[in-house]
Amino acid sequence: MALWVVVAAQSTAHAQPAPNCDQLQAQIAELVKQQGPTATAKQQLDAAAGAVVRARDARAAGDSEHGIELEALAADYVATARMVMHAASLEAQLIALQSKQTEIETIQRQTETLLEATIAQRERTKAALQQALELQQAKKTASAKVEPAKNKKGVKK
Amino acid sequence: MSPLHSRPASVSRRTSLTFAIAIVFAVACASPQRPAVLTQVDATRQTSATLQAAEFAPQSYAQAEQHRAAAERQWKDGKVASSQIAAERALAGYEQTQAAARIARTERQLAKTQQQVDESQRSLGEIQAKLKLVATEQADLETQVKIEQDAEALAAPKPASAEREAARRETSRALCSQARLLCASARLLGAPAESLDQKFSGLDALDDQLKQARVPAPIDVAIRMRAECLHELTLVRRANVMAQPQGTTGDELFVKLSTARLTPSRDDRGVSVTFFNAFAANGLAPSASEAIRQLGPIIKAYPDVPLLVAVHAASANQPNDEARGRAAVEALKQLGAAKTDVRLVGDRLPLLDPHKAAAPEPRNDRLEVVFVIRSN
Repeated sequence: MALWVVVAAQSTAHAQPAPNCDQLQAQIAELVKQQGPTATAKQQLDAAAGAVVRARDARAAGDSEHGIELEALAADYVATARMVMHAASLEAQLIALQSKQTEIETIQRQTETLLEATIAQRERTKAALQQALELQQAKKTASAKVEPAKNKKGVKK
Repeated sequence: MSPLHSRPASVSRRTSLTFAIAIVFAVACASPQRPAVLTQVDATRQTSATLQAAEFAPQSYAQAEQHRAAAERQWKDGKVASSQIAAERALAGYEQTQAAARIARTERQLAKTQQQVDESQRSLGEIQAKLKLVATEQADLETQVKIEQDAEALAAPKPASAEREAARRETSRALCSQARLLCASARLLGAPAESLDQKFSGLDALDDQLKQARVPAPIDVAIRMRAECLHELTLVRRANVMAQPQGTTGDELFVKLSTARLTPSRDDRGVSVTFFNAFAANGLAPSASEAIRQLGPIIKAYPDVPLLVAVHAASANQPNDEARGRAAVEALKQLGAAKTDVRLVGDRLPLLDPHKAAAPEPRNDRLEVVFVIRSN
């Protein structure tokens, strides 16, 4: 039994480091950092990390065939995590854009109301101007009528 | 005991051994149990989420299906571990399909929403332009109403007390100066010279009447003259406003002058800046020259905005007003002003009551630079 433990330990110590595993590990760490506290792709990244551990173990046990398959599985999960994060980022953009659209629609409704009010005000002012012009015209006509009358009186004198 | 039931012990042992061997063979030859992950794969590929996602991301789905097929094949070939890994890859593939579908769906929605946003912004721009046009028309109409009301022939004022007549004369002089500045602004914006010449002649005549201290003071004429000059300015601006209803030059200038801490103000003529303690003998005081220099970048940014220079004095008949005006115009030209006009206002538009102090009020001695806006 003791001999088996020693042999196993030596076999692990001399096992080739898995370059793919290291790269995958780095990619996973980078994605964990990128996703931040929202952890949108936590499930996929956990699965990828689990697959990397299994791949390391398989390689350490000299089972490179399954080690390669497990690395491919980890790579699949890393790709999935990337896509999930991309989808989440696009969805956030969509929400922001929808909110902007709502904001524009609100401003549009307010501006339309203001436009209607201003048009009404303009029409009132037009009417006031028309009234002022008519009044002025009426005064001019009245004074024109008064002048000849005054002149006639002068002639009589 | 019947012979049937009395078997020899050796026969019984042989039967037991045969039965045990058969069991061992049965156990050894039985196919291994199907991995649970394969069952999970079968369940996942049938979900509506995966089937819907497959329509959006057929490539991802096809790849996942390849992994599933490989998992089934390897399990049948007895490669249980590889089958399990391939099944897990199939699961990852279905997840990827769903994520790809999310991306495709969201990208479509984004494009659609962006189109809606663009359309709404365009529509909003049109409404805002229409509002600006209607508001400008409204403001123009209001000015016209004001002009008509002002121009309405007032009843000729009747002679009043000496004190009241003096007040009327002073107001008339102020109105006359305002009229001159408005007409000068209209001229800077290209109002017809003929019409303006008539107005200036009328204002000269009014000034003569005021000098003669006629009783009653012609305040009615002064009000009418001012209204007529404002009318000229409104007329010349109307075309510009209608051509460019969204013009924001006035607002921009106001903001820039405020940012430069020049304390601008707005009136019928445009945006104006006043410089106090502006003069020294026949020219500009060094501090005023320094302050005016701040206008340089703003003047250069708006080369088509003409400048009206108004020289105000603390007391009447200051002989060096003309030289001061020339100096101010020269300084503005050096800063890049293309079109300028100078008007000597004298003491007709005081800021502070000149009669309250024995000596002339120095704050009435000032230089006013007006950016005459084309679409105020």
